[in-house]
Amino acid sequence: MQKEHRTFSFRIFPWITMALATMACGWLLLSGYNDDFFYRAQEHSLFLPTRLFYDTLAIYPGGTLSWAAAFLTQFFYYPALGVTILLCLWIAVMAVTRKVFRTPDRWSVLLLTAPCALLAAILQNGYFLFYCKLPGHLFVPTLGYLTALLAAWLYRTLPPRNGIRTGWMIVWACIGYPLFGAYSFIGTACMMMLGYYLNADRFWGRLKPVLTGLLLIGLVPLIAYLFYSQTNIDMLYRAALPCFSIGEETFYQFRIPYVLLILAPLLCLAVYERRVPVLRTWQCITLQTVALGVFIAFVNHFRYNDANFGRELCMYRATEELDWEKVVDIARHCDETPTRPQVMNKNLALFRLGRAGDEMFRFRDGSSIPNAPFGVKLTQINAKQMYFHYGKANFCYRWCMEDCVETGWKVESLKFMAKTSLLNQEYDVARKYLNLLKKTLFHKDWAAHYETFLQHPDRMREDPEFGPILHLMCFKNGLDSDNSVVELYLMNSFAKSFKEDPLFEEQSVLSALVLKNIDLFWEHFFRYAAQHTNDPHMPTHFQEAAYLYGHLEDKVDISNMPFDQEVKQSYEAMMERTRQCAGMSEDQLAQVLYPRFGHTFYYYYFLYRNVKTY
Amino acid sequence: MKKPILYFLYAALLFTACKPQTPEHYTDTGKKACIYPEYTDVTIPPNIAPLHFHIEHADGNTVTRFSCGQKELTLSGADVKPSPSDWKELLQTAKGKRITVDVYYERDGQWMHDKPFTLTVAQEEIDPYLSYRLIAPSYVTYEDLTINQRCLTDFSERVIYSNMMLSTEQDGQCINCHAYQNGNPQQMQFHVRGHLGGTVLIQNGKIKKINLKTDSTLSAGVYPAWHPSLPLIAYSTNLTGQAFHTRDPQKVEVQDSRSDLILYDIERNEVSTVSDEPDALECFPTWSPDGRYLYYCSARFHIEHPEHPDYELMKNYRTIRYNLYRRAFDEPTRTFGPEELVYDAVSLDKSATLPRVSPDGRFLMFTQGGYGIFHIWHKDADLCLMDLVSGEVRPLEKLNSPDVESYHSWSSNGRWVVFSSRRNDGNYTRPFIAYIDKEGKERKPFELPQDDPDYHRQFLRSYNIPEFMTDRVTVSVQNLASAIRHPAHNAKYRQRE
Repeated sequence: MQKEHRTFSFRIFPWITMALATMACGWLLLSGYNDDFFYRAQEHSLFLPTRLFYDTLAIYPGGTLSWAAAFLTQFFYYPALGVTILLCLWIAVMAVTRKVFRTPDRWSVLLLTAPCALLAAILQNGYFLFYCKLPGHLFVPTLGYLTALLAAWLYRTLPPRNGIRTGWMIVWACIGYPLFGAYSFIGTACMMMLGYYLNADRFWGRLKPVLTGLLLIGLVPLIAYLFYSQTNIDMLYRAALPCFSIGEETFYQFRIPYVLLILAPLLCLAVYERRVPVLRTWQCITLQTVALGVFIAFVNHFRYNDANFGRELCMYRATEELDWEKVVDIARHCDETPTRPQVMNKNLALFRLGRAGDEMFRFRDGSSIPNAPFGVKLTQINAKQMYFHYGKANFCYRWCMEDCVETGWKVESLKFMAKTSLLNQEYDVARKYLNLLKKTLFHKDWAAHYETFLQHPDRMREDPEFGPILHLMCFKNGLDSDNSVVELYLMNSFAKSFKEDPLFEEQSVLSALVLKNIDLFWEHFFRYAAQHTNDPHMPTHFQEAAYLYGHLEDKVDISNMPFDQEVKQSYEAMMERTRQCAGMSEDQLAQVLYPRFGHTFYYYYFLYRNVKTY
Repeated sequence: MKKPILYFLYAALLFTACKPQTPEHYTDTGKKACIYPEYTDVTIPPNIAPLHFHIEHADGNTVTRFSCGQKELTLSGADVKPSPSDWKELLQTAKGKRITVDVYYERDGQWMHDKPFTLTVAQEEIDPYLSYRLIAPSYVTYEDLTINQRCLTDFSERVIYSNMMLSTEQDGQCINCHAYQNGNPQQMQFHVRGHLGGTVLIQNGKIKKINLKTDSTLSAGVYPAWHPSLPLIAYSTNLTGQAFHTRDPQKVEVQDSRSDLILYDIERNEVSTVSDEPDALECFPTWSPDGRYLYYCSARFHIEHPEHPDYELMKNYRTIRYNLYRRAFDEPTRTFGPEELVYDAVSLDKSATLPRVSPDGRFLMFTQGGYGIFHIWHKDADLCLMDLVSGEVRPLEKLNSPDVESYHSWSSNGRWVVFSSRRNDGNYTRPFIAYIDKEGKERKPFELPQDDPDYHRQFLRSYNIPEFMTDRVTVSVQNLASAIRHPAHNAKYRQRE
């Protein structure tokens, strides 16, 4: 009776494990900022249902796998849908693994090895999302591994006579490599190992599949090399695997989940058809619990979790949707030093809301270094968005192109290229990009919306997105270079330009404030004041800067300026408090003064120093 | 036995029934046919690949009829794609004549008929191969670049070399400036920059990699020109920089702060100076077909502070203009004569670059823009033709468009030119082919035909340096990669007496 009960437990165990694993994976994938991460991932990908698109990928071994993965990546447009597809594929991975290796129910936990590796491979990404060059990289390992398992499953089900299995192994190796790249090796290796076990009674029978498999893994890529005209021989055995090198450095830690993925079949083989010693129930449960714990720890270790990164993603999306209040709201709830993209997004949002002059310095400022093992460049993350919204259409277009050249064509870049081409009145090339976007699954409507501007360019002036940008495009052409330092270039270009457009002039004052350039501030301040004679309210930060600079230098007489009482009081109070804190280090002083004066330009001027822009 | 015969008859009947018929009743629009690529009234070679095109404004059935005398070819579908055999037959019939193309299409349930257009089939064939570099029109970055060869009599395309064969994430490689001796693919060269850099020479299947940079020259060889008969290649040497337009859709300005001309003797592996005049920026050398003259362009520009030339170049970029010059070449002594002005573009406030002499030696084609040297980014850049006998210069109006026309190359028989143009969208360079008759009169060009008529609208790369070839390059990509892995042979510098 007791024995029957135990058997029953083990039968339901795999399903409980799978259900729990699926739920856990789903929760992990969708929790935190991952919603925005997946959305951005599909914006950073492109799938076109055209022969040219397929051919472009298929020139590399494993190109078909990338193509299929890029197709599925589109579904992250609705992150929950993309995640559901991913989870379904992982359940398929577990089911096929069980079939291939006849994993005993009591060892079901081992079926989680591959999904854990695949989950870790996704969760570890972080800023690597912007540097990965493999199209469809979020789906590639899952699809590649599943296909390899299916090939091994077919091998197993084929009759073991007349060399049919060997024949399939050869066919798989020959067609699998061009289609699935290095993942075909996993399939061949699985067949090799299965062949070894399935021919347990014959020495030559065991040796034959092993030798054939090794030979195929070694030779097929070398033969394939002769047919590929764009593949480095050094990359043959890594085809369709992501390259974790950025610049001079290779980041090996990103490869660990892939190593676990390769080891997953070996673990399953270790318990192949109950070849392991029979363990007592408690031993089995303990071992499986330990294994489960190890998996959880493994995934947790590789899970990239960074609040600043999350906020950047969220702000980026809100800016795309012109949801300026949301951007400001995210900045308001930031209780740690922000990264520059956050500060820039916040400043842009306030500018668009017409509140930058009053609120720009009310938020935490600074330049937290992006949490990544490699140097993250702003040009790679949100230069395109900033240049676009600040009216530097050419620079936006340029960085889109540079980015696409380096990391592949993506929806995000095509959108910006279409929009900047519209701004530049280059309607033919705008149409080209919009036509491409119209071929996508989820960006048709977007393209259709912007297509209306091709017929009616005059509507751009009234458009909430293009209208303000066109105001900022009132500068004359010149030759220039940003030297890849986006924020500084933007601020300098505004601060050093003098235009009649009130919106442009406002941005010029703001830029002079950010740069803490006193001379430029005064020039723009008076122009701004002259342009706003009918407006009784001079923005608070402009007043603060005028009051401060008036005291710091005697260049401008501020005695007759009608400063708000609060502006004068907070200045006096801060100076007084600073005097009281004499002897403190600058860091200590910053901490002491922040609660009361952290929202003023005075604090920004004196205590935000060495802000690194990039 | 009866059944298969019946099936065959049914199939034959079905096939005959499906053969498209031009409609009996239709409305003549009187308008020019709206097709892409724009192939209306162009002149084509008798050995060109089928001109596949798309009928733009049809919303129902379409029928297209090609006719030349008794020969007719009728096709249905908005993508008009004659089969290679039908096309070949049609062109053979129409050689030296005109093909009339009638486009019928349904719109709102009504058959419409646009004004018929013609395809004039020239007597003279075009060189069978075209090579070009495919590159995304980027500015600083590059990733995968290929030098490809395209068979012009069909749609086959093959990579001659790709930088991805040897590029790694740490060590990127750029490839550029493929050139041939008289279009002969057995005598080819291209440059590899960066990782494993050098100039790759392919001569009758043998591959060599040379380092053309010497202590006495500005840089390694850049823009090449094979001597038409001798184992000599003239190059410009350039110190090139670029800056970005903040507002102008031309987007980037590529400029030389210094440039000279050198001559490389392949057999002696020697480099010597052709021209290194101070304050002169010489570039884009090319030989006359008899090899007696070296043509090039040159601008006069004095840089006050050579240690920081960028600012001066950026400030004065609109004033740097190039004239066309030549120097006589003495074969026995391999020396050059003094500089002779060929075309004074500067006096017209223009800048002339990329001189290319026609194979019969009578015409000089060049690119002319308002300023500067890198005309591929200049929307006002147009092709011009100089009659070297009369000295008359005129713009090639039928070849030019409101957008960029830049690089160009003559076919070996001198009747065809291929040139790069950005007329489609202002950003992506596409090759166009045009007929030039013996008197230098041009005909309307046509865009390089593709199997998918929409190909160029989807394609996100530019075609650089379209060059005709009389045959295909036979050296494999793998062999080239293997040769490039080896260290380059250093060229020696020879001081001229």
